[in-house]
Amino acid sequence: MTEAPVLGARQPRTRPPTSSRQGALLGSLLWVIAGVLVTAPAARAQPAPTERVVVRLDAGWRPASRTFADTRAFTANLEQGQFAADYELKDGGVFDGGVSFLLWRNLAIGLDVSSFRTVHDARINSEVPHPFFFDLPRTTEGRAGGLERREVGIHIRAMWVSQVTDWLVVSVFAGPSIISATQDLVSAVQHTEIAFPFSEVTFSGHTVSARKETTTGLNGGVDIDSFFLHRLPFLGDFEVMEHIGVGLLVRYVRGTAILPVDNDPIEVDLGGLQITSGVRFRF
Amino acid sequence: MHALSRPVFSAVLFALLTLPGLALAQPPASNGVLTLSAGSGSALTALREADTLVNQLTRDGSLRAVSQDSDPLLADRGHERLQQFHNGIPVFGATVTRQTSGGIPVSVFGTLHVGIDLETTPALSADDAARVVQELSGRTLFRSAAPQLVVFPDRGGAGVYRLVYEARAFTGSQLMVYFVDAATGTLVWSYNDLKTQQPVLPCSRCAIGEGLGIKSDRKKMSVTAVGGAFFAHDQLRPADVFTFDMRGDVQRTQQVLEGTAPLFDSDLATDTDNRWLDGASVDAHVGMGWTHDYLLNRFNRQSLNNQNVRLLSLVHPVDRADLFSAPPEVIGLFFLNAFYCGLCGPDGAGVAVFGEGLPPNILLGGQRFNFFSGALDIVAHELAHAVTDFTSALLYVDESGALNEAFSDFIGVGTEFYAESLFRDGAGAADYSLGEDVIEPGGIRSLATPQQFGDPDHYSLRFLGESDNGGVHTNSLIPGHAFYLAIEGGVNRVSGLSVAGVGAQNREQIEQVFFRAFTVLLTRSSDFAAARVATIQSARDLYGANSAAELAVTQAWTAVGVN
Repeated sequence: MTEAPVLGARQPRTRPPTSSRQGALLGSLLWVIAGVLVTAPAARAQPAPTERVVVRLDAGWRPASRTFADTRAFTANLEQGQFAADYELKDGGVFDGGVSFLLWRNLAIGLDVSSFRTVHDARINSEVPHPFFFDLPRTTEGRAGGLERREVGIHIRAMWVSQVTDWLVVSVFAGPSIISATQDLVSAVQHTEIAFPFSEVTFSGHTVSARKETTTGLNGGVDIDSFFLHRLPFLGDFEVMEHIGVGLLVRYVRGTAILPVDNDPIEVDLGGLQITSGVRFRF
Repeated sequence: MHALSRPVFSAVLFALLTLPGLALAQPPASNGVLTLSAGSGSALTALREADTLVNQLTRDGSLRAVSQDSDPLLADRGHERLQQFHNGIPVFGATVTRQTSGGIPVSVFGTLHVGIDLETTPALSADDAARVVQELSGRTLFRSAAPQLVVFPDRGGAGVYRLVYEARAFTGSQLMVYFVDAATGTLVWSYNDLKTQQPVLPCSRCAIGEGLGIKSDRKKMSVTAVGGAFFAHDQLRPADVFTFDMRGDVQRTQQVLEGTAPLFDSDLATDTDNRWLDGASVDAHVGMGWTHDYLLNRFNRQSLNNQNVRLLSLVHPVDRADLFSAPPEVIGLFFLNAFYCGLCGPDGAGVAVFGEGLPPNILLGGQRFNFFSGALDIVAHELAHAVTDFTSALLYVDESGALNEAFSDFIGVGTEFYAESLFRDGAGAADYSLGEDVIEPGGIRSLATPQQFGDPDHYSLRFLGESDNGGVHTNSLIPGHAFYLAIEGGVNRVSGLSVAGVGAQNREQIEQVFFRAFTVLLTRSSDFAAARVATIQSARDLYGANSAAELAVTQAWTAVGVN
């Protein structure tokens, strides 16, 4: 039984070029801004909210899964082997909260903080050099489980707020984000030789490195707030209920982080579509 | 023991031979030698008669099973190897192989001696015989090779038998087999059983090293790490492979071969950083491993004895710097040769020795002689002698000896083709020449064009002299050329007969046919004619009657004049 692991230089990834991803990001932002502009005339016909400050506290879900891949080389049995890790991010829980200030007429500005966490797997495909012969690698498959992705985002948003009815407020928004991401990456794999003729090798383990990076991105979306609680008969006697509502926020966040791994960084996409709902306080 | 007395044995044999309607495949010669050579291509009656005879002789104890094995390739087949005894004493060279399918005989090959009239009480003890042999050889006998009584048929074929002691001794340059008369102590016959290349070997300490062969080609070496050093001991294969570096000490080399000096781990070829630069050691170690792999992957054979016996070789048996002070027999054996000594080594389980070659500036016959282990075909050739020793044990004289050599050439060439893709850095091109990678230019033999080296490519041109054990390295090219023609096809230069070979893409068919014939069908005294019948039988066994393989083999033997 021999172990044949270790690190080496990283191979080129099969990811779209950065320029095209930035283009997509810009497209997304333009889509949100266009939405704001389209809805603004309709909103303009509506009165602006009278309360100037809204505090929001949400919990929700990031439904979309995404993948990213990484290929790394290692040296075993005198040759370069390699493993490809296909990271399969799952949906995960999101906590999102913030505050917004009405600046002028329907225009407001907000500051939010969101937190996302998911635990996911990576599928590992390795090519392991043969102990006896050059250029006759064995292939093997394995899974690396328990990998964690954490994203904490600070989102600034410019908002167009529309008082659709006296109890319904709809706002569209967009703005920059600062995202701090922590990702578990497979930095090395271990294999175990079975027996002569060594035509097969088994994936026997992996080494995980948590990498952290803070980057900038963009966010945009729509927030639908409803302040109807004071209209309910059993709550109408409470004046405070005029200040408390519920809401649904749909936000799309987009960013790219360059995670450092052994002086060989890997580029990963951050954010995604997230849907949260919670309580609203307006003052 | 259940042996019959001499008169009874003879009577049974003759009775069988004279029963009405019992016509043996080949009647006994006037000297009482009965050759059995019956396969599915033979008349059914001949096969039945041979089978009946074997059964009868087995029941009365005249034939005893030496081995019984299931067929490694055909599930329903079994193989017996039987030895003839006379009054409980084995008859030299009298062995029979019988192939069966579900108990039904498929083929019977072998040689039996009829009408032996010999008293079997020796006048000399085994110790007496040992002393005679020690005097003859000037050496101490192998521990595992105490003299054994055998009934010895006269070499001249006169139907005369002697009770003799058979013993082996390594004389420093030859592995002599002596036959000493058990009555008088005189030497009856001897021959050199040293199989030479040309006339005249998942754990906690395992490691993979990188070696450079003699052609500076990169190879991976399976080695053992001990105390910060690396040793040429492969423990990753089912059979251990050892490569010992004798560091040019010819005296110690000879002592090791004689069994009078032990081999220590410190004698193993070694390297401190696991980047091996001694090409002779690298090529020997890797070559033995690849030969092991070829035997296993191609023929499902577990190392040389089919029981994963270790493979062991010696490199640098002499120092090139000692060339001019070395006696001729040392030059001939340890500089200009490679050989396999079946009983040599500390455990008596055989050693391959690879010659040192000559200094680069010295040519012999216009050829440069490099380290012999640098040629994979030579490495495989020598190890194949051990396969023969553990199977047919083809007698290393005359036609049986030529077959012995030919089989080693088949394995040498076969291993080279098998491993061609495993070489790197431009080394290892496969061909039908032997030793071309170390004896340059050309090599020493060619199965494609035997006449290139003055070797016969037709039976009519066979060597009939006494030297080289009856021309074992010369006449081996007749079956060798047949092997080539059966694969590649072509026209024999002498007979003008053409052969439709199976083609290089079907090379494995012919390799399987010959391997099966030579390891399970042939016997110690088989000749070329028997090899023809056995290979045809083997082709039928493996690929069916009238298969392309059978056609190719049949045509090839005919083309080289063996009918």
